[in-house]
Amino acid sequence: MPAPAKTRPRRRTPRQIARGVRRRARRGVGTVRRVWRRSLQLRVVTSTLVLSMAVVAVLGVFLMQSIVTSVLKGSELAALQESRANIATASGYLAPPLVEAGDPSQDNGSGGQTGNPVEEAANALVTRAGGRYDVVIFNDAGVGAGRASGNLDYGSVPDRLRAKVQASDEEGKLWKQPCTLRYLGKKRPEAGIVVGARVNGSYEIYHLFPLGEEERTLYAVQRMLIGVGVALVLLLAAIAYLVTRQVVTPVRLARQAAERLAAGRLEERLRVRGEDDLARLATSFNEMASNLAVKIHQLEELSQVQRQFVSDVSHELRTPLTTVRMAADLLYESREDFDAPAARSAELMQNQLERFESMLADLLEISRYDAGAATLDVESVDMRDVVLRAVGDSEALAERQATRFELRLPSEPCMAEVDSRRVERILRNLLFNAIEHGEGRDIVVTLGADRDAVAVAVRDHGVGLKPGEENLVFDRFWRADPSRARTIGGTGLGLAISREDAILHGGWLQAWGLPGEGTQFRLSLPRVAGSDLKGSPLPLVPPEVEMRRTWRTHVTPALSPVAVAVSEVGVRLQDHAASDIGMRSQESTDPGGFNVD
Amino acid sequence: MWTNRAVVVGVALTLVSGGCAIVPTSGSPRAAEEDNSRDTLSQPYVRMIAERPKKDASPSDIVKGFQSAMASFDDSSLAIARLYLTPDSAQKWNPGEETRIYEGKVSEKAAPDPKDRDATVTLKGNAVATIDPEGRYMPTSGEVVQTFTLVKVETQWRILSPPNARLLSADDLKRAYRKIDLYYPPATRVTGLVADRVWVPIDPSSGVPETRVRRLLGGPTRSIRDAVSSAFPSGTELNQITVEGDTVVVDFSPAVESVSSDRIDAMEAQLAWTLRDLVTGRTIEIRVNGEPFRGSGLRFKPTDYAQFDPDVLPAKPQAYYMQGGKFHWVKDNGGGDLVLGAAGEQATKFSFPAVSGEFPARVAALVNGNGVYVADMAGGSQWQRWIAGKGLTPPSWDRYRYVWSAERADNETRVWQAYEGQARRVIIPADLATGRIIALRVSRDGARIAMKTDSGLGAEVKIGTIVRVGQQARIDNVQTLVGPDSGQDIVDIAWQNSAELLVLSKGKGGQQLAKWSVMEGMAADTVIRLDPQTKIDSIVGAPDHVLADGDGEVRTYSVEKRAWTALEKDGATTPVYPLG
Repeated sequence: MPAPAKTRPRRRTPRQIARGVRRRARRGVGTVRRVWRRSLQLRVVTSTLVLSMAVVAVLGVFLMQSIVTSVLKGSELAALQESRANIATASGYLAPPLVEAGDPSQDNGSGGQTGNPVEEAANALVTRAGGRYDVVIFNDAGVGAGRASGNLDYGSVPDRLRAKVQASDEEGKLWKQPCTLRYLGKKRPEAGIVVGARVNGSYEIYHLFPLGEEERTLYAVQRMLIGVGVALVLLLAAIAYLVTRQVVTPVRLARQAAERLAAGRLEERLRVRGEDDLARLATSFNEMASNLAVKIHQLEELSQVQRQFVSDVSHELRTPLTTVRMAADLLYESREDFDAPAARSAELMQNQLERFESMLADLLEISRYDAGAATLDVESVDMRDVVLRAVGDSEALAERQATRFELRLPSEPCMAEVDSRRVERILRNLLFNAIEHGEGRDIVVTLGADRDAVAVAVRDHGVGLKPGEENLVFDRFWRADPSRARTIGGTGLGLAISREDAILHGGWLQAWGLPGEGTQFRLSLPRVAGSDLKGSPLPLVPPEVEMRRTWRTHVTPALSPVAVAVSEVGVRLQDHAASDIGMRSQESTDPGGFNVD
Repeated sequence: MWTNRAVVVGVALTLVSGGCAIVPTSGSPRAAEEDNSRDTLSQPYVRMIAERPKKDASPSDIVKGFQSAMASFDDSSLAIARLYLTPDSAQKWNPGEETRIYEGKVSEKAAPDPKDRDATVTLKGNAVATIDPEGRYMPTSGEVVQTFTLVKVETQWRILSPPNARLLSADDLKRAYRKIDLYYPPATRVTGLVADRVWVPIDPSSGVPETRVRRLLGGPTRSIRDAVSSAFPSGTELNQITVEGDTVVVDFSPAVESVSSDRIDAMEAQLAWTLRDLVTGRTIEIRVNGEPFRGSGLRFKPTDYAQFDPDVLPAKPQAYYMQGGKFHWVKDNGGGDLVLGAAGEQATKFSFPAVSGEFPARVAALVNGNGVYVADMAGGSQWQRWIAGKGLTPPSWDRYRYVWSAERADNETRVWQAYEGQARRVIIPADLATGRIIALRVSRDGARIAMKTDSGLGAEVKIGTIVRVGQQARIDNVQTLVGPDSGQDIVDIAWQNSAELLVLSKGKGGQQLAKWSVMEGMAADTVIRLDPQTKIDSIVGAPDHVLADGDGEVRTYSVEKRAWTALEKDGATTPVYPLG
């Protein structure tokens, strides 16, 4: 939870605050999105919520409308009936035979009992209304013939309705209009319906029915509907939550178990409860796990046997080889006594024996790595010396290939805690490799250093690597072009051993290459043995190529930082697993691991 | 298979829909509850709609329009009625002084010549009554000739200088006014109420109940102002009256909280009795600006204040009569028995007995022609002389246990009241003192006295208000109820209830028994029919009961059957109800 920007003691400009807010919002959105993507339960509950809300809203609106219609229809019907009956009554009272209508004061002069017709009509209607509704009588033709009942404001009768009623060509025809009923005094206005009719000439009789009760009822119904709808939606969400939890929890457990299994804990098993689909999934998972465990065991055993076999074979081959070597030396030294083909044979044998010997040595070395028996002999050395020694060792070969070295070494000493023998071997391997594939062009050797790490990059300008080959080069006996012969006579294990050496130092050995651009290998090592390597002082991609690439904005997928990082992680993981199991598993993609004979 | 399933589904649907019918078609019988929800507070009434003067209306139409506009109480300033007047008159006109009720019509001598500058319209008819600003109804009689002078104001006829009164027709009165009985506790601080009847126009903006309570807070009319004292603190105003379920909430201004706690009962009784018929079956709650009274609330049921009844008597009062010179009481199942004490004994001859309201009751009577004697209705009691004098009128008890009587002595009329044997003279106005009092009856609420008097012109009935200060009493505000010019000879008077007096009179057409409303000064419409052959000597009344004697019988009048039935025969005379 990030603290609100305002409470920060430091004073910041609005722009900064806005940026902070934006950043936080972005982070929040990111969190939400991540949670959304990761939680099946949340997605199910949310979609249930949204869908049920939509359904409930549609149903509620429909229901409410039909209730409103039916309630109001009932009231309106009753109002119309009442009005019709009342108007019939009133027209009886207001019948013309009585003295000229609409004159309250004139009719009583004789003292007779003939009351004012308007008065009587109004009284009759009001008595019948009994306060349920109000009555208003207008007569524009007479004087003092207007009557209203109760505390109704007779101005509530809409003028438009009056105009319609006055213009009505048929007496007793009912006109209706919804309106607001206003009252004198403190009573609040309420909704209602006016029903009016013209009676006996110019009398207009209006019945004003309040619908406040209906309104309140409908409000109550509406509130109830909303309440029920909300409760229903929440209930559905809760049900969805509970139901999905029943499914998601075992799935989550299975995922965790699978993760632990993937992390190498092969004894991990799921608990089986019941016989439903999830239980069967757990059973299958457990079976799979145990089968995998068995298979992995078998493979481990097999690979151990194989490694043992390689190691044994190498050892066993050594004794006869020594004898063969001695005999071959003898033959080689006296080759001048032979005739030309025999001498040539002796030379060839000598060469191939040397290669055989170094191959055996490499095999032994790598089987030592596989067995985890390799140890470091760390000392603090100046990396420049190491580089120079390696270059010196390779010079003879370089001359043979007409290749020149270009050294870029820092002027100050470049100390690092390394096993100089192994590092020298790495560099030698890299240089041999560069000479072999450099096609006689210059080889650039760069040494770089920063506070934590040192790095050596070896760059050639040969054919380069195809995309995807950056990692394959470190495979045992891998060859870029199988048709090409090994001119220098490398064993095919050099780079594999170099990488194992680098890993042993806690460093990286990485390759970069583009077809036609050549190759660059970079060895990065921590300055202090045992510390973690966080970065390399030298770029993996040569700067001039990088510049050209940004120019063209052409990115080689294999070189994107992610890919590199993945390969690094892979390397580390392998390392880790090796230390865990105590024994290195042979990469199954390596078909040439046993092509020894 | 498919059809089978369809049948099963159909049957199930029918069962379900039948079982879940919205309107039940069967059920167990139950007693219907009484519907109390009908709002007795909102009494329906009709209002006159005041209309503006029509264009080019004739003078008579202007006068008629003016009349109907006056009959509209929507606007207390009568703004629309003033539109019928010339601007000058409209400013001066003050209709609040008096309301005149008439029955009559507008007559126009002739259609005015268009060239005329002025016109005259005359209203002719009979005067009915006047109502003063206090709401006191006073019947009037005689012919009314009201002339309206009209002049032209910018080609339109307008009324010049109308009378400073509201002129209403009898119809208008019936429509716009309501007769209200206000109830005030007597100034003597006795548990009880005195009725005060007024006529007030319904204020359409507040309705009938609020009109009533506002008028109640306005105080009693002049006629009984000194005899009563309202329990409401002065300055109390009504905010509104609302109904909350079964409760009628009467909301007052904060001044009501200053009522002293011993007067709260009286205040509640006033409210309960004034709103009586509007709040039947409901509870009344007094609130102050919407808050409970003094924080704790004040709720009461109107039926709890029956003992404040201004008629004092119970619903079925005990009746007495004389038979064979002895005083009897009427048993519930018919027949009668002698009362205990001196009145039930033959020993002393007495006449005109009156019974007090206490228990055990006392009998007061004229004995030996030398005074008013009183005896307890208890075994072994003796007659004791309370008021001495010759020619005393028949005694009358009031609720304070005083015996009242009047005499003519030394050329002046004296009125006496006696308490426990001590007689005191009552102060009376001079015109009473000069005339003769033939009979007097004190009302049961003790606030009024009805007197049959004769000042030389013939018998008349007068009503006075009794004002008590300590032990001293005074008759005040004497009004004539039945004048001597009615052509009737008044035989007897008796209070029926606190507002109505029974007057038995004899005219050319025989005897007549009429109910007079003492506070309105007019006879009620309901006339009790009498058998023309029977001569009735005395009457006595109680709420819903009338007794009379004649032909040696005591008869009771049934209001439902409108007929007399004999209560006691064999020479029974002089029926008596307690008090009155």
